[in-house]
Amino acid sequence: MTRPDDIDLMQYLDGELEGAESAEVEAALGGSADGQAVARSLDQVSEVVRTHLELAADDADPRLERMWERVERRIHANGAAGEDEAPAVPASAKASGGIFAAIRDWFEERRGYVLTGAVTAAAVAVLVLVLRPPTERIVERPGAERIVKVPVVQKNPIVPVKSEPAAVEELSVNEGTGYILTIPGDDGDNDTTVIWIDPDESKLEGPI
Amino acid sequence: MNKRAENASISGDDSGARTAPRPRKAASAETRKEDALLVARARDGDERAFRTLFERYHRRAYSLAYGMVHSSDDALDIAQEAFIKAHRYLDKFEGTSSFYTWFYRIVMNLAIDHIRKKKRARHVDFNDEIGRGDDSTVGEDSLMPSILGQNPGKSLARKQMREQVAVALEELSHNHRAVLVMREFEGLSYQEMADVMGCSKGTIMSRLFHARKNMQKRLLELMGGEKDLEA
Repeated sequence: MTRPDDIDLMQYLDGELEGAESAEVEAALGGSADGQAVARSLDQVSEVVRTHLELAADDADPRLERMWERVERRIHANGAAGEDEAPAVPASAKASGGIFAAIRDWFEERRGYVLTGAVTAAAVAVLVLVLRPPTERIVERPGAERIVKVPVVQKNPIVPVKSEPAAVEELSVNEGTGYILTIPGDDGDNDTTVIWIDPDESKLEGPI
Repeated sequence: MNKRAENASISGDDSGARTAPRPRKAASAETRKEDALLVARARDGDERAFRTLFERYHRRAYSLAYGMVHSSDDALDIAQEAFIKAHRYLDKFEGTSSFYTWFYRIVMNLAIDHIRKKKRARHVDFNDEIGRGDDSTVGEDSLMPSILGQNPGKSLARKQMREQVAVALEELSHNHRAVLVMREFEGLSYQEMADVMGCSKGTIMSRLFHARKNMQKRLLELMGGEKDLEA
């Protein structure tokens, strides 16, 4: 017997066909080994996807159990914000299309990231200043046709030394994360040590 | 092995061809009616009613989201956000469709937005039209008859297998992934999926056909060399 069309077979197995259409595919499927093999393969794909997702949900069960607390907290926060008659920002800002409010909300949501980013940028700037090479100055001589580069002459010229990379050690501290940056000195004796504590914002926001 | 996976293995042991339509496991008429009552109570401020809806759908919301984004953290965020949105916009739910269809639409929209933002959609849909002419024979463009040995559930318990299934799913376009996950995990009908995705029933059928075909093809490529694991 002729093998049923793949689309018809798929619709039949998904329970989307009724009456005569369903009976027609059923009859064709009964007499077609190829059709039965395709039906089996469709079943297997279904099984694989379903089991994959169920196992993933099993893995997440402990966290899923705590989800309601977060949902409830957010719902109450939204409700309180909606009921609050006093505007948190100037009315003009809200009325003007909410750009200010949008920017404020963006920073509010990412406050931790912004603070971390700012601290990181400051630390990088300090490192760059400490580790930068000797400066050169460009001097334009009167009457000269071209600009020439003249190295700055210093009274006590710095002997170039090979800078060691800064050693970074991570610390576990209460309510946050800490780092110790040790920047080797040029003469090997005067190392610079920077201790950087990064408080965990989420912990600070909770009830204290 | 947990109970669900065990059940999946047991059903996978059936090596005979499934020649009868698979019963849909989407919500029954009674469940839909209960949902409608819970929604009405939740709208009136009954938090316990909304909690009941949450208990009913949070695991499914997570699984749908996980099927789309393949990150536990992101799926949890999406599921959580979906409930917050559902609560916020409960007044806009008109009741013309079932609650879960409306809610799954929120989950899917959040998941697709997430994928777009992260630019993880590496594949675009192609050829969503169904060519009936050449599909009547087993060939390059048809559904393939063999995959994964006889016990896909048991195979999936192996971590490596799960990773390969995740890879295969992730390589589908988000539209193909969405219909596959909704159909295979939730058993939604074509019309319900069309309501969730905001497209026609024909488009859903087409996407589902190509999603299954691509999934089969990719799984065969990924697992082709591991048939001995089934022995």
